[in-house]
Amino acid sequence: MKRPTGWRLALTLVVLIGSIAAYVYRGREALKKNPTAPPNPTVGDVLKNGLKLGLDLRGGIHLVMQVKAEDALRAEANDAAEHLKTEAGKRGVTIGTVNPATHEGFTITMGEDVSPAAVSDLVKSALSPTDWASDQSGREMRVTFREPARIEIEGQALRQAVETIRNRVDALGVAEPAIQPQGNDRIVIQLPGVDDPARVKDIIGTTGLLELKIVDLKGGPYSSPEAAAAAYGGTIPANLELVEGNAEDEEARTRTTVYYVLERASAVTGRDLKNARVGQDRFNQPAVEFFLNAAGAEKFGRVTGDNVGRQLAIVLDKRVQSAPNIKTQITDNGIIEGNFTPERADSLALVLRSGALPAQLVILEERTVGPSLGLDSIKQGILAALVGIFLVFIAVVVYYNLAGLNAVLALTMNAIILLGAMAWINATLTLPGIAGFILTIGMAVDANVLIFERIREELDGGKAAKAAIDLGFKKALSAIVDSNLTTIAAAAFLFQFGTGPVKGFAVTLVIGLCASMFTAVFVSRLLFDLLYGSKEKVEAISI
Amino acid sequence: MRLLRNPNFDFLKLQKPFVIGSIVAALISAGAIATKGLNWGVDFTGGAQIVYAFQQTPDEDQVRKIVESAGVPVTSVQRYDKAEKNQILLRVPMEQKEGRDVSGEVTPALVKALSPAGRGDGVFDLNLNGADPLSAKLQQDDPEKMAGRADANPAVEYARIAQAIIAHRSQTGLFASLDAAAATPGLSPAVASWLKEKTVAGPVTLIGAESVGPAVGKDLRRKGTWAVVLSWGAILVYVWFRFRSVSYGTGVVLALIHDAFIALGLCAIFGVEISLTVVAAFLTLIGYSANDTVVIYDRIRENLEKPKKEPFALLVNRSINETLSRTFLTQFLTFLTVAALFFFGGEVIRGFSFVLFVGAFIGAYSTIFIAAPWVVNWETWKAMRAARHPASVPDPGKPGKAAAKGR
Repeated sequence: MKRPTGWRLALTLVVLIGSIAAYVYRGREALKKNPTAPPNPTVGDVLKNGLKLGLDLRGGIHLVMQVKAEDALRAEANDAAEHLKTEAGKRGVTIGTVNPATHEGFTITMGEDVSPAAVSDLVKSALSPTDWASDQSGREMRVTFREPARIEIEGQALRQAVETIRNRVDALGVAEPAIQPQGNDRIVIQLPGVDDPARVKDIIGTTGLLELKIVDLKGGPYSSPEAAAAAYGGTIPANLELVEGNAEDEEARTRTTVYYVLERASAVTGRDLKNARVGQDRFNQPAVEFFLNAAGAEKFGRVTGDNVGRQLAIVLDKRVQSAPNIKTQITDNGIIEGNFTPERADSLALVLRSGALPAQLVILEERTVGPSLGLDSIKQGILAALVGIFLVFIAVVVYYNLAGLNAVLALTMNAIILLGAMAWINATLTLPGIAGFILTIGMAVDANVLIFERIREELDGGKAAKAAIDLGFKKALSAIVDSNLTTIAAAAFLFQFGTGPVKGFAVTLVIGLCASMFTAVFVSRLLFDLLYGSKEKVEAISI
Repeated sequence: MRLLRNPNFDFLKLQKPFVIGSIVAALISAGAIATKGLNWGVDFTGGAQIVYAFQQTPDEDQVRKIVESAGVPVTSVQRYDKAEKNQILLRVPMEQKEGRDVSGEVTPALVKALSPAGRGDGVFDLNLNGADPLSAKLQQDDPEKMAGRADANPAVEYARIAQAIIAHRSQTGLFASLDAAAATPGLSPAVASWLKEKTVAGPVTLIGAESVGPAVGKDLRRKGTWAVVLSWGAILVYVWFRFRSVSYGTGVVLALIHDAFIALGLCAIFGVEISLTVVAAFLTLIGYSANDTVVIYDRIRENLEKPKKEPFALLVNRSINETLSRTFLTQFLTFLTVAALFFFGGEVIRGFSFVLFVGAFIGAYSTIFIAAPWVVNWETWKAMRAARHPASVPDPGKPGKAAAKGR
């Protein structure tokens, strides 16, 4: 029986050449995008760049951060409370004391002289009734977010945080960053090739919330929270707040924590910022100069004008950096001092320029791989792959002779298809992915082994050589398909379970197993036919 | 070459001692897990794991003291990877409060404590900074005197120089000295002397850090468990469907549970840290071991189709023998690749390689001594029950007939 080989040879060559072409295409594409690549790439350069490397091989940072939307909600509630107070003043309605806002809303304590009905009317007309709910119990009016408004603000905070981080990362010049929201309140940030993770983490994680607040007349600084409270007879009034800060003394600055009592309302915040850059402070230390926009300058001018002689606290992310005395009215600029290193001042200016995060971000998960670790992993992964594949090849040839060589060719093609397919779908190669590559070769060879053992069995059973090959392939097929599909079923869960590196492993495994079904069953058969097919009678096969 | 020509072992006769062996192994595993406990990594417990490389051979006790005095609690400090790399693995327990930047706190403390006295705060540490700040600093100091020259673009030139220096550092992890930094290939004498004058090669560098908050850890634990359980379920259903008998489906899953449990016990005994990649290894082991079992089941299915009359148990035994040479060879080849991974793949995937290394053996064992006998016992029991109640099954004489219909 003669089987046609023409179209099968053509298909095999098409797949082979297609895989190589896909790999080379991606390699060249990657080199073109990389500005530091050599202008005339060698074949080696192209081969090195065909696959995208994962963070664990390239080095870099993977961060999962949570947006603490409470901050954004509190800020929104604070704005609403301020608006309500202004409206009350305009309309001449007495409303009583508006208490500090929380992430749920704010409350108004109404004195005996206040008409709850008037307050309720004011709330309903001044604030959007679709966003705010109000209910009264006794002398207290609770004004709270309605559910849709809360969700909207949280979503807004997430989007804005993603946007801000993107700005900062762009300013850092990280190539190919990935910044994506995940779920309701998380952001996944992947920055490949970062070689100083500490600085990058600092820049991403710093909220960058600048607030300028007036220090209360009795505002300290105090050496402990208790001392501060004692100055106010035990409790600090609601319109004031206790904030940690740096000591004003140059020597003790940043090393000693002191406590200031500040007015709760900010004179100006970072939202009114126009620009920030590195400058120098009174002691010739690196500091950050900031410039306010027109609206900010107007507010700042008014507040500093009203409070000449008092202290102004420069609060960055809830810490008083310095609290200089206001000597004259200031309008549109200021300076943040804090004994910064030049690098830190530089980062801080970048953070302020790119805008504050709408809320505090906390790191839920961090995976940092330094550049040397990534390099080590690549070296070891490639060494392990070469050794593993070499050993398998030797063993197969020793055990199956010429048929073993057939398997070696099939496995080589399997490896080429695997690399080509991974390049084509832009799969990321990770360290577990390299392990998957090696394992795939170990498992792919199983298909060849199944077939060859079967051929040997048929030969033992007295079948002629060509019939034995035929039967061997035919009978081994169901075992190959069923066993590979069960493995793929497990790998599917692996993909669904894993984070980056593990996903890379699952992808490699599945592509490899699919490719092995093609190479072991189809290509290997073709090779047998090419070898023996043209002969009328085959006396013996080398297996 | 050919080993195991026409083997004819009576595997089913050996069934009892091996089942007892498996039960003993499972008990030892359970005991090890119960007494020694599993070494869960930060992926699952939460907390942080940080690897540092030091210029000098690090002293674990000293490192622990430095870190603790920086206000960071320490679970363990141990040497990591090859001794000549001077690396330390530091574990930090989970914080009650999420979001603490542990490596950000520990690194400066280590640098400060290990640096010679008199190092100022503002010095530029080549072992801590990346190419960007280095490039900025070079541009600022301009050792090549490029500013104002029409033929040079300082920004590009210094960025290239900085990248070369940092790439050179990556080869070794950290610069052992400023001389090592100045030895970067292609560096001009001006830049080399600038490095020696204006920078320092600090005592320590961060190699890698992983920190996982409690929420993520819990999430991963749940997802990992589900992935394993669901993969068992999927394999059960697939094999059940393909072989048309629940005995095959349950047999394969029983073997898988056996494998996973014993491999887990070995992890406990050898203190292998259970990380994400180790769970990935378990899932791979599941796939691999199922693969092995399915090949033998396939042969049983095929032999059942032949008209030859023989008791089911003998048929299964014959099927095992017929596929034995394949089992051994595939096992051996997989073993070669896994061994290459284990010995050359490096520290990062050591746990992963370990699980597959031991798993390859357990998988083959369980196929022959658990999965196959299970099917025999199940089908025999079914036949016996059918013989006692002839009405319920129409054709009691052929155990495993249900399976034969699958083709």
